[in-house]
Amino acid sequence: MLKRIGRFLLLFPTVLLAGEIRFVASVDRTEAGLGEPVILTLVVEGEELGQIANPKLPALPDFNIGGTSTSQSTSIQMAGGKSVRRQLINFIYTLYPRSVGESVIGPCELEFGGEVYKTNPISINVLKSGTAPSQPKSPLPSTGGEVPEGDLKLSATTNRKSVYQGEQVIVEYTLYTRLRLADMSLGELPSFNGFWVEPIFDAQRIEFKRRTIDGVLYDYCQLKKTALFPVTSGQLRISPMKLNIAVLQSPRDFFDFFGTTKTMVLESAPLFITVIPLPTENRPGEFTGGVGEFSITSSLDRDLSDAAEPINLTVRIAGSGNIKLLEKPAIPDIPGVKILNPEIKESVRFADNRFQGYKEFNYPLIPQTDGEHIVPAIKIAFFNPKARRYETVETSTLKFTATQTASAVELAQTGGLKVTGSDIRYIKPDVLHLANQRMSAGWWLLFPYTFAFVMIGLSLLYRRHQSRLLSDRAYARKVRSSRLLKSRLNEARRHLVKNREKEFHAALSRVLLGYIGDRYNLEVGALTNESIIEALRDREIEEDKIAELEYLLAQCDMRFSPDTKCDDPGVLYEKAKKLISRL
Amino acid sequence: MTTASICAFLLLAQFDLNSNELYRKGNAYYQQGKYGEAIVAYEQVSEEITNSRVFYNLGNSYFKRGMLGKAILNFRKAHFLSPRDDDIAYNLDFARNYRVDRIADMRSPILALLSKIFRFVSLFETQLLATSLFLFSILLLSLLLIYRRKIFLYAFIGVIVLCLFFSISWQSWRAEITGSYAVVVAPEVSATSGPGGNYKEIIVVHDGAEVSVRETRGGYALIQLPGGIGGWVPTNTLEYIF
Repeated sequence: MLKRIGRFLLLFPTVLLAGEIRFVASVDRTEAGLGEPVILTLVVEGEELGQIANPKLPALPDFNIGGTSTSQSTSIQMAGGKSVRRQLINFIYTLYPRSVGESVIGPCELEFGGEVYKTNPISINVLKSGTAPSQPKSPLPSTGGEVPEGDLKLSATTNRKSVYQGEQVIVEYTLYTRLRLADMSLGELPSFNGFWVEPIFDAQRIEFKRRTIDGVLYDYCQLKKTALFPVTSGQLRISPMKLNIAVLQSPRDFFDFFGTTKTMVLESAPLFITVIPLPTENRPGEFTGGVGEFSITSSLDRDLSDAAEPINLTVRIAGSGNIKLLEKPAIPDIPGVKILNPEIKESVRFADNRFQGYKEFNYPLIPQTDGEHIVPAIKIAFFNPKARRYETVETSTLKFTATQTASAVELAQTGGLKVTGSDIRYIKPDVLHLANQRMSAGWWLLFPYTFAFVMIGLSLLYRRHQSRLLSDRAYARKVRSSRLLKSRLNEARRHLVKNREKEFHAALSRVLLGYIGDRYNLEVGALTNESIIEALRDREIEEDKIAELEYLLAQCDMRFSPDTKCDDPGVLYEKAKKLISRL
Repeated sequence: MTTASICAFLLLAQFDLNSNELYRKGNAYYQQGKYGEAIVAYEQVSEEITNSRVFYNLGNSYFKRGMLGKAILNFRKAHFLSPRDDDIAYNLDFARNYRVDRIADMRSPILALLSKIFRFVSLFETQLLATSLFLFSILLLSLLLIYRRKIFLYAFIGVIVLCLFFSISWQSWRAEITGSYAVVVAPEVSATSGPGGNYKEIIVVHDGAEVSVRETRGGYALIQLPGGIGGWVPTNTLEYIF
């Protein structure tokens, strides 16, 4: 209980108001031997720091600055219902004393929010002889709870801060720890925007090695090493690498047997690289994008070509630098020789801290004329960042002899014509009117199909009708009757118009008898009027219709007795028509 | 009413004239080697008028500018409209040979020959032919039903076989439209195993690769190359043929 309160009290001084920051400088020791490193740590702590500028170191005439690194940790605290992002950034500088005696590290400055914060000066007593640490610190200290600063850091380093465009920069990410790590996974890879990336090393698994830094034993593991070639100029930022880490904490008491783990996000500092654009003045025309040191050689695989056989011209650019970004060198025209597009091969390896190797361009040369052909010197220019100027190198001239080219060219001819190349065919000429071509038919295409189905239906119906005509006598008579009825009625009408009463009556009688016969399937020719009426009665035809028929037939029969006067023929005709339609 | 229709007619005529003029302008640009300007002119014409000449000339202009994907796309459109045009077929083949990716034609020669035979007529032509042959066959069938002569039966079988041929041709063209075929129009695209940037790269395809799109999801399309291999690419690197 007491212990907890003590820890709380320890935390207390770091409680800061929003907008305020703490800026403190500390060294790992105040007594050091000449040439022995002193670690200067500048701690910036505060809420919502965001992007913070690097602190400014004072002039340090008594020290060499060996290296710098930063580490950062963020915690989110809930206070009063609000979440507050708390950041702690360590700027770590390795200083090497240059002279014996009392050396002072002056106040370091940090600008934040319009205010300048300063640290207290620190004096270092530099001894002549090395003061090896009498008691090496325990490599794996058992930490009580919080992870002490400096015990865990992800360092991001570059070998160069400022390079020319296309010049190599090496970036390394290394994890240093003095704690026991339970688990680790990659949170975020750094983004190398604006660079051509050439990986050198990527840790496949985590294997810690040990190294003593400034007398402190660390477990360290290199995570990533990459060569970068900037392709744009300006200030380029490489975003930090992030790791998710679980730290094993030693048991607090007896019951906490296995201990607990604390997970956190470990973030490296972002890296800034200033890329100087390549000078534009005095840039030779043969410049092919190379930055570094290169040499050029060329060779031919044969010096005699028979029957227009291609000869391979190999141009090899070897050296160190951005080999993969080299473009093909321009080959000067060789009269009488056709130069085809090259096949490109490259081989690059990382050695002596830089990429070196070669890029080979294999140009097939096809002689078109006999005789000796000379391949002129091929020049390339590159930028030498060490000398800070463009340099031009060139190959020696080569020559080869071609024979029998004419016969070979003839072989490629078609019908006595010399085929010298190929291209797409020429565009279509102007037209008076550009017609709209249909891609596909519209919905109206459905019409013919519906029509076809209707046609099939109709012909099937007709077919059925035909077969019924053959097999069904009654149906056939019925079908025939309508046609006959029409012609008979017409005949009767003709006689009516011409006022020939006798003929009219005969025709009308034929109309009625014919219709009745066909309609009721009766052989009327062989029947008298009475037997017809009888037959109709058998078929249960309504009495009024039968009476009407009887009357009409009687009227028609009056033609045989010349004296009697019959009813008006026009009325009879209409009556007959009406009766037929009712039957 | 009549005035309105006359006005509409005049407007249409004007429209047509502009397209024709633009087409001629595009041709003039092409002759001067101003392919970019020619592309702009032809593209505008192609928005108004569907004509294989326009697509063909557009394809030529894109080819001259080194935009293989766009060239192949337009040659394919032109070929769709005029499949018997020798120039279009030649240039389409020529442009395909210029591609970085050498994707072998996996089809058997018999299948290739069949496709050539069935695609001898364009979709519209085959639609008209198949329909009129179908109508004719139905007429013959009706005659057969009515008159029951053997000759109509033979004629019907002959015509229906022809009609079937054009129906297959029709279906083969329809597949071109409905099968969501696309052409890669970016210089180089890496196809990944999932729809997004953080998946494993499976294959790198280049300008002009002709692919079929199986599925699209959130700005990414699952493409398949003729060999069957494929992956997800951003949809803005593709352009559908239809």
